[in-house]
Amino acid sequence: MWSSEPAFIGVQLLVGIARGMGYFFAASGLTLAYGVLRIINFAHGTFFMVGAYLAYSVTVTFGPNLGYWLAMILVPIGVAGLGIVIEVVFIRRFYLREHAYQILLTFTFILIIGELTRMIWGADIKGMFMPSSLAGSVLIGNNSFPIYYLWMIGLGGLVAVVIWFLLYKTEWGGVTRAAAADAETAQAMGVNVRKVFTLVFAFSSFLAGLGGVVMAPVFAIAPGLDMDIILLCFIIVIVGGLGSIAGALASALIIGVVYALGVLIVPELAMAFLFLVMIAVLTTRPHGLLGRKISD
Amino acid sequence: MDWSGRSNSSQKKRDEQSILQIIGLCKSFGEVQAADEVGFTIHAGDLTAIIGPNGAGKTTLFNLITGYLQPNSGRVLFEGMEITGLPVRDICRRGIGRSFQVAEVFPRLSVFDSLQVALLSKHKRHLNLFAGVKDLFREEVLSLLEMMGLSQNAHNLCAALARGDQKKLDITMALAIGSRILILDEPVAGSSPEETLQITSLLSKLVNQFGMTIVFSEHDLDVVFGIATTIIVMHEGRIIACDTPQEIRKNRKVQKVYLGEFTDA
Amino acid sequence: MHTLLPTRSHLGLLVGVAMLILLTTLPFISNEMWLTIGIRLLIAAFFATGYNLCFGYMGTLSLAHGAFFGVGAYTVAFLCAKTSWPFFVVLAPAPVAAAGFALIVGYFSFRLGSLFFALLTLAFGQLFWILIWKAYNITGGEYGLLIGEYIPDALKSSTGLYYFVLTAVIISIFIIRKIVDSPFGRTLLAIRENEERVEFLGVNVKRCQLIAFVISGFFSGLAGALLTIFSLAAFPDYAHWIKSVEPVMACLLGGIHVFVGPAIGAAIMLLLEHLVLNVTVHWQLVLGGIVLLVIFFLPDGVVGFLAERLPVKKKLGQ
Repeated sequence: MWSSEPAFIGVQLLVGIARGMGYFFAASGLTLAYGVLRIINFAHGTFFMVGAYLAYSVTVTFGPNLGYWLAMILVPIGVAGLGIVIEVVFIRRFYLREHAYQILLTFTFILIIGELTRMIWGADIKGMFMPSSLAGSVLIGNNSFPIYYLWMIGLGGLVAVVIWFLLYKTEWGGVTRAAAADAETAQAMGVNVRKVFTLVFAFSSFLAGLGGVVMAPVFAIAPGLDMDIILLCFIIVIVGGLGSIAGALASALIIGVVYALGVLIVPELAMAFLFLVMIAVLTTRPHGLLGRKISD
Repeated sequence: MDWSGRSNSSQKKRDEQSILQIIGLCKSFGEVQAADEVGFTIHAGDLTAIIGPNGAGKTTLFNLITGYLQPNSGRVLFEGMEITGLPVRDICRRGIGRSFQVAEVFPRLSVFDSLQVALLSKHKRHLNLFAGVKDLFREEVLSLLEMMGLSQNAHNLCAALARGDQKKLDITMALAIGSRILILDEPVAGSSPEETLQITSLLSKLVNQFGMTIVFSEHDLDVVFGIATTIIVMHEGRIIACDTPQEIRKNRKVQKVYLGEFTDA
Repeated sequence: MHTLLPTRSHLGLLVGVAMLILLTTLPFISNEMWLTIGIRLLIAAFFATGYNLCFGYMGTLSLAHGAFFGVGAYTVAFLCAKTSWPFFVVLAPAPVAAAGFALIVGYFSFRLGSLFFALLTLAFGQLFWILIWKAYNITGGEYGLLIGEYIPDALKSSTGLYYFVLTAVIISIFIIRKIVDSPFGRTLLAIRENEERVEFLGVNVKRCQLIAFVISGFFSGLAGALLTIFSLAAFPDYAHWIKSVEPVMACLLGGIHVFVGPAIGAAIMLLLEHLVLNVTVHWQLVLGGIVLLVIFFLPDGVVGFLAERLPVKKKLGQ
């Protein structure tokens, strides 16, 4: 219920941050894929959705406790596998083609995978139970705050650190960044750019799948989810700057908070408001908050 | 050898009107100073070459002059009028034509169609929605092609042209819009010796017969010393010399920085 | 040097005349079902052809045209339902409103490169869809805006409606053809090939892009209005992003470099949909698969593919 107590607003802020973290899982993969491969994977939301549906099935089979942890390990790997297949068979052949065809290629995946999902799981809304270890809430002031959101914030932060570590502190990360900056030169210097691209796409899909698992208990799993997520990801990634992980994190949190607060004030149009934010950013500061210069 | 048929610069009996004045042009990209207080004057009828090692700032300079980039400071005057900061299309309409290092023009259009687009723009008909375009300005296109030696290519696609012909087409496009000065970025780069000869004699013809003014950048020093009336040498964003070819040849600074050797006397 | 093989233009003329005869006599030689399909086909082909002005001729992928279609659809429906204006007056504002929306979308979207352009148009499109969906007081939300009772009697019969749509489509396509063959059309091709170079010819490229975008938005709105009249209602689907993708797929399927390509692609899509839906409800799956195959193996679309292989002599100089 509406209350202008500072604790209430603070809790909403935390809710926004938690959901923002959830979006960050997906957005980070999208921005990573763009930063290295220069491709915008419109089907990224579909991977996310597949992750959520798979998590649902795993918990239905193994129960909400064992199932959740099992899903957290297996589902992202599964989605990464899907990503590898798609990259090797299809996307790889489109790196040099015009943007329009790349976009359309990933659009066909939305259609195909989306319909397959509908065929396998049906069109009704699925709900997933969260594990008992993460259920329940804590009291902040007079307001209860779900423990699961704390888990999401923590896990999101961990993932962000892991990504940063992988990219900046490992050899693979260095190689990846080199390939991202200048694929031709990297190739000439002996880097197996093909493999790097496939790995990056797989990792990006992994993150999408992970996001699907983590977010699954807190929203409705139904067809159309993929489109909601991908549009949200676009907003986040553009505001944060295409190609910037830190930007995606900052932007995801901001968007999460804005959306959470917006839903309080104008529930019907919160999404519309986000679009306006994206349009405003794109027209005034096209490289986003932290994006580097991107030549088209 | 001076192919342009002109005598020493300081005694030329020609129009002294300055057509292009560059004053204190500065442009930096982050920490890199791509243009550092660049200033010079081009007179009508000049055939000026700008030389310098890669990264000296030649293309940046051309981009600044033609409005593709905005300078941090400095001015560009064309025929006495300020054009600094104007958009590319306005600058080109006033009479500055540009050709590019990568002379792709319009890959899937024919040579004829490409030139036609240039002429449509020149005659301000490009927003016309209902006239039939097929034979519009046909004579003008054909005579331009004839003049530049591209007639036999009229119906070939731009992408199918030989390198040298692509460069020629690029130059023709700049001519077609009615330019009074041509800014050419490496017009003979990648051309065969025959193509190079064709293009250089074309440039001379344009200046001598048609009263064109040309500024071009090039790496091929034979070409440069062959046809240029003035040579400007750039290094790291600055102009280090601006003089006739004979004087440039003797210039120690140029030798050290650009030609890479230091010869006595 | 005579040859008995038809030249491309002869073949084209023959096919064109045959099509015209078929189209004008359709109500007399077919049953209700095919007439209905014919109307839907005309609208889809028209939508795709108008879209191709932007996509094939100007080389710009827009994902907002479904929203323009929707603006046209809902404008007609809204004016029908909420005002008592005579029917044919109601029709006129629809494409104009769509053009207006296209002006806004284009103004913001053309400022950036092609990748951002596609995203921005998608965003604008979805924004409109959300507004339609949420404002159910005005638009009827997911149930659509029904206008059955406002349609004049002449258009209530399939034959009457068919000829109305046919006339509108033929006139519009004629106009689009004129634009394609005009100096402006030629400039658009140049912009497609090398946008920067055209700027260096003294052309205000952004203005040209905006004009082309608004024109194709205008015709998309008209197509939406026609479909609304046909379905007797405007539905949110008419503004959804999938509606934006339909003309793209039709263009790719048929061939974006030929004027009739999009129409043929739309025809193929519609016929396939008709066939597939008789067998399975999973049309989206099939559609996705088909488009995937087409962009993989037929970069010039069906028409381009056939054109290379048919034994026709090219006219000299073409």
